[in-house]
Amino acid sequence: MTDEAKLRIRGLDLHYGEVQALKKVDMDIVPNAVTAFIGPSGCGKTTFLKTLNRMIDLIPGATVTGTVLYDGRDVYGDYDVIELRKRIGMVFQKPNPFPMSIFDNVAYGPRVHGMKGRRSLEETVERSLKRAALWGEVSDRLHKPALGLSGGQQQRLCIARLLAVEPDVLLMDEPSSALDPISTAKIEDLLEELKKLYTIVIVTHNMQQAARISDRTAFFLHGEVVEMRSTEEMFFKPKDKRTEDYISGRFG
Amino acid sequence: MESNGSTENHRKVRRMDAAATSVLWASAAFTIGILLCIVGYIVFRGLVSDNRRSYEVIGRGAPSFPLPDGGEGVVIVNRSLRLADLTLEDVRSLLGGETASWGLLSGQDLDVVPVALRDGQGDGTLSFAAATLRKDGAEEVVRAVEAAPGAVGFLRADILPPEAARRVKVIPVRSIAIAVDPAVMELTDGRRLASVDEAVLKDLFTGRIANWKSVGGPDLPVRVFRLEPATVESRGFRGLALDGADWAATAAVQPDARTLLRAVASTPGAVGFVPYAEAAGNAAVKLLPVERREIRPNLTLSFFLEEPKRAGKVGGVSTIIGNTLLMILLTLLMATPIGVGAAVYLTEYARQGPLVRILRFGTETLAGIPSIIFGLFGYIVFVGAFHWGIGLLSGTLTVTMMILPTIVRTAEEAIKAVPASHREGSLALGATRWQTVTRVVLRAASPGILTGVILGIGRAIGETAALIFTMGTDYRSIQGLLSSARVLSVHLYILVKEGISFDKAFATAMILIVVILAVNFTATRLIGRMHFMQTTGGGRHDG
Amino acid sequence: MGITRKNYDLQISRLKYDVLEMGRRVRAAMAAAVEALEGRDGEAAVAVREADAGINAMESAIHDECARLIAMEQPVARDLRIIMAMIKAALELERIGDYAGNIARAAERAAGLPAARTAEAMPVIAAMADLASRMLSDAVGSVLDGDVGRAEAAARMDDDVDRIYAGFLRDGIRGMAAEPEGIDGVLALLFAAKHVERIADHAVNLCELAFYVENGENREL
Repeated sequence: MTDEAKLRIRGLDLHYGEVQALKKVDMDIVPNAVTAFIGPSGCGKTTFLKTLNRMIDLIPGATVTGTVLYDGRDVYGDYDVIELRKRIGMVFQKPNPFPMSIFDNVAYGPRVHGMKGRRSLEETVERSLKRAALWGEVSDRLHKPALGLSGGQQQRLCIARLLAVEPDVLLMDEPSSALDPISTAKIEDLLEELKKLYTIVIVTHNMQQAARISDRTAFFLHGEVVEMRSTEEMFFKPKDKRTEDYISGRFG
Repeated sequence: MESNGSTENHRKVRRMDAAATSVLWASAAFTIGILLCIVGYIVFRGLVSDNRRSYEVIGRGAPSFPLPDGGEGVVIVNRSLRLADLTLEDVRSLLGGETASWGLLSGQDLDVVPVALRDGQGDGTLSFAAATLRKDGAEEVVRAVEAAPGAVGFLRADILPPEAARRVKVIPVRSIAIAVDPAVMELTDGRRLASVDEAVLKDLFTGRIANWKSVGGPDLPVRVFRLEPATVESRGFRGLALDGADWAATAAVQPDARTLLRAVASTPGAVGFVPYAEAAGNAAVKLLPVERREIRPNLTLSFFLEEPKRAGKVGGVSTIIGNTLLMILLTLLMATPIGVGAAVYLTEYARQGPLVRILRFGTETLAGIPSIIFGLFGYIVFVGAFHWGIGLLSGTLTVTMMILPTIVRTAEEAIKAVPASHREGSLALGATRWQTVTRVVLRAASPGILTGVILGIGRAIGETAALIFTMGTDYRSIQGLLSSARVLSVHLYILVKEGISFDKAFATAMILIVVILAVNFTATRLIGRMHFMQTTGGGRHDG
Repeated sequence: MGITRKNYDLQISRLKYDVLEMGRRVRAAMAAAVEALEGRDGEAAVAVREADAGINAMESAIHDECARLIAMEQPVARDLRIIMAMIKAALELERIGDYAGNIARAAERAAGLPAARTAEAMPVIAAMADLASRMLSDAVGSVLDGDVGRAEAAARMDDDVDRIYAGFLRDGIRGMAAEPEGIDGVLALLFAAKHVERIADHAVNLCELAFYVENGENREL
């Protein structure tokens, strides 16, 4: 059933100067599935996410040790960062569309990677917006400012923008925490569809969301992975008491 | 339950609030008021020239002037000429070919084109230049004057076609002068009577003023002499200067001009009127200048289109506008890339250590340094050491240096204001640093950067002293990068300092204001369009 | 730990208490029915059957409370298992209550019979009922605490109950064959004993729930 793990992390430590933010993280991310990271604030889940596509490089003073293998190759040695980020993309907590038109936003990635022709750009934009379940709502105003969209639409736009560069893995940092329930539901449905084509890792504060949409869940606490198992098991019968306490909301 | 103390407190707070609001309102009104006054005054003086000038030939002319044979002559000019009136002497020298350009008479750079009937008809009073256009018939003359800008023609009053006044300008001619006993204009008690205005003139000749003392002259009784009431001159003078009022009772009548002049010369405190031609050469009398108020349109389209001539006294500012625009363009082309590039480096690429802090401090200091110091630097380095001399190159480089710190600072602020989330988003899509900076950051910062550039341009346009040292004062259009070139601000300075023409100075000031308004307007529109993409672009859509 | 969701904890505690109380009432009903059988007291028997309505109402209330807790509190893991177990436990207890009512009906019928027959049978039935009652008590307690050891021990007692019943059945059949005119009476007693045996079986079902609560297993005991 399981293919080669898409991402294989072994012994990952992360230090911000003196402080250790991640301790000996071991995990496998399975392809074509949604993996959720849950845990209290500041426990390292977002930081860990950023190590997967080397966005952690942007933070001065952050040192990473251990291995992160993507399709068998070392993320920190064997990959060109640009190529890596094209294949492992990221969506952020607060939607961040560029101050440009909707079309230019989605076309940004392809253009940056060299796509030029008007036809191919238009096709890519349409395909990406359709895959992000946004096409129907914006097809008649592609050249209007992206900032005129509502929060939920903006987030889907960011997803479309990401899909336009044809990634392999989608990393999502609390993608719907800034959105209302309807927009959240739309994004969750979207992820259900997207996981057929992509590998998705999602950080979430929302227990119910993790339970609803993820196939596997990892519980982070103080920079360590306390437990990682299938979501069904995690929410029906977790092994570790700390996990049980967290997901039942009984945390002091 | 509110205690009384707190309602009292509420009242006090509300009163203070109201008082503060009034103070703020007053300050704002005051500031805006002052600004409006300044701009308003400049606009008024720019559009309308309002001066008092004194002439030896009295201020108001008649549409026709007497000819020796008893008839009357009329002078017509093309409608493009801005003249209120002409003196008889002017008419003589225009038609006689002695005055070739209207420059000194009307301030316009036009050549004089005399027109007349084929056979003289001025006889005695006027002689015509060889180059005069000779036409058959009055209608032809009028048509010729109508057609050529700068044309001036002479006709007898009785043959002037009736509707000519609609096609050409009939210029009133001033031919009468006021002769006084030289003692009247002597220096007495530290005062000297230099001129009188039209109201005083009327009072003198109607007898209301008895002694020269009361108008600033010596202590002499006023003795009025006049010509025969029947003469053309007398009638004319009475109509023009006295508004038809009665002569002074004590006025002595003289049979003709020569006699009158002899009488004036020999009578202390004497004053009389004579045709200018008669009095002009007479050394025994002095001519008393009469002041009049001249209101004329000042800034007209031709000011923009004509070249300056005779040190700016004549003509417009066309070449100067060209020089100014060229300077702005070159400065922009040099300052913007360098300034924005420096700002990008400082914010995006440089490691934020002590070196960067020093650089930034240096930039901020430079932004505040008086521009004359940049002028000095430019003079010594560009003009002198590099041997580029005073010209466009030295001047533009000096101004570039001057506005660079402003551009760097505002560009930096604009770039720093771009939220980190945009950079993150771009990098997360696999863009390089450079791509992120050019495609996202600079694009987002462009309104702010443009504002900085506009500020810089504003400073450049207003720069005067530094440019005199480095760019020069030649108002002709430039020949090359090293030629001296005068810009609008320098032109304004020179017009005032050398006393060439206050009217043209105000006209230039108005043009400067218009240029700045145009630049700001364009910039605001541009910034507005850039902002369009940065905001919701007209309402959010729910979904 | 544990200072969050106090209200939630309180509600779960109250739920558990309600189930405990339901179990107590059911045991009381069974005891009263057996007593009515012993004393051939028709009126007491009627009283038991009337009390059954109250027990059914408790099952409804517990069921509704569980639904409310699921909707409002989104329980997961152990909390979820406890609530699922409470639903099932209430259902089992309700059926046990029905059986107690059946025993009471048997008591009504036996009331009109000669005393001698019942005198021999009663100790047997009483013994079975006693075992069943202890099983019930342990079962409910073990479900609420997730005490699988206690649950297993209680479940084992069912073997004794079955053994006693098997013997009673044999004797009863012999007795009916020997004295056909007393069949009605004997049958009534036999049914009563059967009901007690069924009560014990349902008590075993309750014990299985303890494993569900503690380990999430669906154990067969």
